[in-house]
Amino acid sequence: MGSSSACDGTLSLDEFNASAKALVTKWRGIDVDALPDWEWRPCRKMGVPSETEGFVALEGVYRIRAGSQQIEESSDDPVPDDDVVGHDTSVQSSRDNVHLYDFHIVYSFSYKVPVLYFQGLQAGGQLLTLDEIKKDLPPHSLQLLNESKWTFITREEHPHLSRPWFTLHPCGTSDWMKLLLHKLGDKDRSLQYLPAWLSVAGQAVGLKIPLKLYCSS
Amino acid sequence: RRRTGPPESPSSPSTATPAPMAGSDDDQKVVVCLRSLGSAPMLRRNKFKISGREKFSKIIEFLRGQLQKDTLFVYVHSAFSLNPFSPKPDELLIDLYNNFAMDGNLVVSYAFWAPWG
Repeated sequence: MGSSSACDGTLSLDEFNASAKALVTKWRGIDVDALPDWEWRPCRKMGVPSETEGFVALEGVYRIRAGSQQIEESSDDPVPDDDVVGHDTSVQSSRDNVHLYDFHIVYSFSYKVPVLYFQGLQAGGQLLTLDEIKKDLPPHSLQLLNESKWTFITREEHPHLSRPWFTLHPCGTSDWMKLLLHKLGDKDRSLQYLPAWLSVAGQAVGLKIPLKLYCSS
Repeated sequence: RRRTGPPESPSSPSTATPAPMAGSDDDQKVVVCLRSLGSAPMLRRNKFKISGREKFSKIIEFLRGQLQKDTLFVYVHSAFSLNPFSPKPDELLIDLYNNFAMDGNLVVSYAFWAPWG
């Protein structure tokens, strides 16, 4: 019988793994327009993929850089030859206007909740600073990050990749998960944990989770 | 202003199938029932009709105005789908209603977002 740990807003590693796999499966089954699929990434120990430890990854999410100028618009006007910005330059600028984001959902042993790790990259592969990431966020996300004491971003070493990533700090997670899950029985709590969690975590980082994830299959 | 590259999300958020009895969604009102949890107080009037074309942010703003509290946690539960979640503010009420209403009501729960709540 599964533990009832989720009634306090936390979940065990086994419950996390089960919820993660259910999320990956359900996501694949719905028609998500502009986002790639979540993938389960087993951790590797001595080159062997672990059966029990892993995380969920959503990578290569496009975001148009905020305030980006499109030089190609002016090329519609008749301009003297000297001022013609070559098509190459427009393409270059367009490519530079795209930022790519990676999101990982990793289990925290200390808080017993999922934690969202994320990073943003410029087209050329350079990592975005937190200020640059915030410029890409919609107003609602910024509001959420500023208003709520329980959704804020810190920089932490990714537990499986040994590099610093940005993360939504997990300290308040169990409190709002308790609210979201309080009506559910044990089994449903475990499986529904990640989609429910994602509906909040996604808002904080401007990740638009489709409504279909919450409809009955 | 033209965009390049795949957009992060589609510009029209409606993803739900329309309710079978709806003629046109244009003037379809939805019934929202607000339910308090924990220390959040109940409202004197907690059930009302609102145009389905409004966004969920309307509900959030209404609650904030009524309760004089900015740190509210607002979310949707459906007994049928068993998939609780906190809707995005730009979600259309008609989409939420069509997918998650029970007995003609879209039940929206709210609580104060506090660690000790």
